Amino acid sequence: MSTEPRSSRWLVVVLGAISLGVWAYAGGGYMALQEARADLEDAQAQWENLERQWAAESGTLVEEINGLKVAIAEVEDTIEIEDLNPRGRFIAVSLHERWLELRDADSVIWTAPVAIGRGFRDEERQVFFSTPRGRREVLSMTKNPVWIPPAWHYREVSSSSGGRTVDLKRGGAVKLSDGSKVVVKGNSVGRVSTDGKFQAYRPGKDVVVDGKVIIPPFGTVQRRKSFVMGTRKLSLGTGYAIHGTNKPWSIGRAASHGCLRMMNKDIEELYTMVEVGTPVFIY
Amino acid sequence: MTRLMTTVMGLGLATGGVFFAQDLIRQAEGARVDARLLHRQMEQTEARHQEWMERLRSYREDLPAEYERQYVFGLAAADTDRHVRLDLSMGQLSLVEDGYVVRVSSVEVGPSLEATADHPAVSIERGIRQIEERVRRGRFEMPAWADPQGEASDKPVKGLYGDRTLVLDDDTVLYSTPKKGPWASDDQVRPGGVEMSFTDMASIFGAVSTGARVYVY
Repeated sequence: MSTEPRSSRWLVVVLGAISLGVWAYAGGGYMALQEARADLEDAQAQWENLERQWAAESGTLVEEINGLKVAIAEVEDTIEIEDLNPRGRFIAVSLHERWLELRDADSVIWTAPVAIGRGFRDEERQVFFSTPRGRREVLSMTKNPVWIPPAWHYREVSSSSGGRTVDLKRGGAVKLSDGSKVVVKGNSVGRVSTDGKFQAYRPGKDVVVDGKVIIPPFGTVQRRKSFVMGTRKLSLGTGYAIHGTNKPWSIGRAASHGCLRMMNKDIEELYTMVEVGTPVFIY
Repeated sequence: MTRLMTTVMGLGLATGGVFFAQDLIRQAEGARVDARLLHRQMEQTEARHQEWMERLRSYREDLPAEYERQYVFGLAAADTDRHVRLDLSMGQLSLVEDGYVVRVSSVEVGPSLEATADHPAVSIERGIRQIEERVRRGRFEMPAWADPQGEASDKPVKGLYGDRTLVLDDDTVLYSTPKKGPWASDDQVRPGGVEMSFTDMASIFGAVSTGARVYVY
């Protein structure tokens, strides 16, 4: 009888202690949950603040950038489209490199060496024989061109042969020491001997007699020279041209009177790739 | 009987309490994990934001130069006379006439120098220039950046640049490296200078006259 109530009390005490422990444990859990939730809310608030701050920062910058982009677009709008597109096919000649390039817009499609003007002065006529820089264009294209020598050619012949030039006019005559004379008959320059017989000089050959270099009138066959300009000619105006040559060793040198000389095979190839109106830039 | 009931109730209550407490702890751990995740995401987003801002700032810094570049290029595009274009970002110098790009040369642009007590700032700015001088085998005064103490002779010296030099109206010098002498080394492009090959320089030199426009963009 006396042990039963004691053991019941003991049981109550034990169970009470367990309950207290358990609920204290639960209280700790509750506190931890509250703490964790506070942390989470704090982090969320921090995130929102940062987002606002980032948006403000980048917003200002993006606004500035957009303003500048509009300004750039306005400048771009002022540029004409045709100004931006590189032009079509053209010839560019570097006098320093003695080199010709056929270009299409911004690509080089074909190149070849050239001979350029010698850059010397004809003191008598005050003519400067050089290749002029600047823009020209192909004005005409000729196959198997014939060269009509200008007067300076005969002056050069006379200075190398030690003679003097005589300008022969149609209807005129140049008397020679043996009594014969040089005259023009039809389209030919020839010699009329004392017995009145006319013998034409070879077409295209310089007429040098009695120390005189005869300048044949225009239109005569002696004033027409084949092969000098090679097989093709692209006229550039005012007496200048790009042409072939009968002196291939001169290519790559300053050798001409101002024209641009090329190997015949090169000018023949170039001839097929250009047309009348193709711009030519000499620089 | 009472004792048994008390025991059962007590144990039930304790067990319920344990389950309840464990649930609370699980919830707390979940909230802590969420908070940690949020912090980590925040750090990553912050880093991405900083990176983005850096790119925006760099883009923003480039835009005025791009504006100047487009502006000057627009003027060059409308110029039909023979002129020179210097593209600083591409390192290209072009001879252009009537929209035809007649020659393109690769060039190296000299570095910019900040102003110091010894010399003024040296840099090549975008804009429209003119060729002020075409100099052949000329003498040039030693630039202040090359001779800060002024120890060299006051007289202009030969061989500072190559055979041909184009001087622009803002003192920018287009040159090729001299073939001999102390300045023959082409290791470093001169500040305020634009260096190109001898052939390119000779070709451009012959092609332009004093007063020709140079568009720098």
